[in-house]
Amino acid sequence: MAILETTGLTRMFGGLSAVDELDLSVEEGEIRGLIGPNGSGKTTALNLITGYIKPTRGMVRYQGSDVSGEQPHELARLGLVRTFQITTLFENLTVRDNVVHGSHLNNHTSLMGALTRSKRYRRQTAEIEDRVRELLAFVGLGERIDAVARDLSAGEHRYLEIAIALAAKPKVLLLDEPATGLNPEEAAYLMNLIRTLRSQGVTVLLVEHNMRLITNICTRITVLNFGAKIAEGTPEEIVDNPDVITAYLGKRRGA
Amino acid sequence: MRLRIPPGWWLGGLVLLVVVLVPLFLFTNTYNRGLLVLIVIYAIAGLSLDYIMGEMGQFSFGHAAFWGFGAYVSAKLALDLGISPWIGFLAAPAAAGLVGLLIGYIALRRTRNLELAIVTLGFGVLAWTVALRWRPVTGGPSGLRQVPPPSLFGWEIRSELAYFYFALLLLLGIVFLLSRLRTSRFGRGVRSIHENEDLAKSIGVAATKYYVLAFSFACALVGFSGALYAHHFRFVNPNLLGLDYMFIFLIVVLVGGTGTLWGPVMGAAIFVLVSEWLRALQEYRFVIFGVVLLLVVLFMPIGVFPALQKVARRIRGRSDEDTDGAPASEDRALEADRAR
Repeated sequence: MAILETTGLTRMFGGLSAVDELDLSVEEGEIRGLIGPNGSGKTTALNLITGYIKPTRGMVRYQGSDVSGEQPHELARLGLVRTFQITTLFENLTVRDNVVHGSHLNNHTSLMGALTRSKRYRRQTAEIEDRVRELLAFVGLGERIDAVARDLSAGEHRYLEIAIALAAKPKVLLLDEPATGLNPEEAAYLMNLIRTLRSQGVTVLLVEHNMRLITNICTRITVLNFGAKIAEGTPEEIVDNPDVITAYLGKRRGA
Repeated sequence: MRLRIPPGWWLGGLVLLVVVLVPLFLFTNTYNRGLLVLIVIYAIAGLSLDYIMGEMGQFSFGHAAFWGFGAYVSAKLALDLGISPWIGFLAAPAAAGLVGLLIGYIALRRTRNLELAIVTLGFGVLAWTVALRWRPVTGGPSGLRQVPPPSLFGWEIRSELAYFYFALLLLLGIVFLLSRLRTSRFGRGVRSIHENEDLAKSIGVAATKYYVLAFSFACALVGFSGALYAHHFRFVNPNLLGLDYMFIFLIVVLVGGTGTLWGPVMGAAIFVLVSEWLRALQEYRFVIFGVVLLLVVLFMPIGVFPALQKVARRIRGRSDEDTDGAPASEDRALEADRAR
């Protein structure tokens, strides 16, 4: 069954459609690639799905129910969590505090408990901090736990973003060009992380414009161009698809 | 578990000790002791404004209006209905918090750049005008007089010194509460919205709801400060809602330092004492304060309290430099913290 599904999803900006009648169906447990050249509407599609912008037309269904027009925080609560194309962190906080603040949905402490530092509050806080350490170790930032986020390298920024997103316990994780700014080793490390997430049962929607990077981790790939879906299939089908090649490289003369 | 006292509390405690003992020896007459009460009241108002500025990264131009509103509510209840000031101390923040909820709901619903600042400015002017014109209720320009002081077991807290210690106790309670609020789920939510709203939403923080509640909380706190004022100085008038007090609270926050709990406390003490020394200069006081504020913003943009903390850390950092490099990174974290 599709865990996430869009039907006829459309967003107009002025007279132009940034996303045009997009039908997308992501199965539970897959790593779906959403690719396309720059400006093809990938990020807009992700913003529409996660509630950051409202669709002009169309519907988003998540776990079988219509969630179009829901607020981002509501969707996060349901397990639909995203990252951003431009690195987005709590820059002034330490690595640890970034993930502690990211654990909002996981934080069941009461206000009274926090004010009185009740036993229950301290236990719950210790649990959150254990989980934070686990997550940071998982993304490879265990050693950097006390660093201030803004001092991290580009690669570390991306790993931290993922740790923050994971702290929200996503069922579907939507990553917006997470490999941007990373060197090949860092990108490979990241892709490995994503693969591990899948094995832990997280469904991933991976937006990327670098096709080479994702062909070996995605189960299926959807290709956008000018806001519309031009191809969909396994990585093998996609790399050989003439429409996709044209979209990426332009029409070959005489072809 | 090892008891760890946050660095701010040492400095704060020291200041506090001075604040508790000095009045007995240095502030010997009624007038001077009245200043002490004023310091505490301004400190609470400053803490509340700093909640908006430091924790939320927002600004309220109507903070004095909420302060004055709290003062009027409590005064009115006591004068017209004979309701005990103790109830007033609860009713004033409740009323101010409710109005804050409404204002916040209007101003913080959508994008929030300058909207809160502008809407609160409008509210401030409106509230001041109402206080001035609605004579039957507010007493017009002369306000309300003979506001009763609170009494404890039949004994009126009327003397300056008694009221000072009473208010000081409340101030300490508020600082304590605020420091714990920061690590609560709510406090962290507010902080994360301030740091990065888009990210906060993506991890499930109901940004608008949290900001409206946080603003309402700050309004309640300043309303409480207003009630404390009304029952000590025993009058209220429209000036309390005006821009003079708005500037005072702003000076208290900026001189003391935003984003720190003890900053506004120190800012309030500095403001009251300095303005007392400058009393002879009458209306030039605010000119001088304008200049002082400018100098502080230019040369000590983090405020007096964080600057002192930095100096203290540097001195301590030098002495244990050999043992570890931790203080340096802590310092950097703090600086980054202030750079927001």
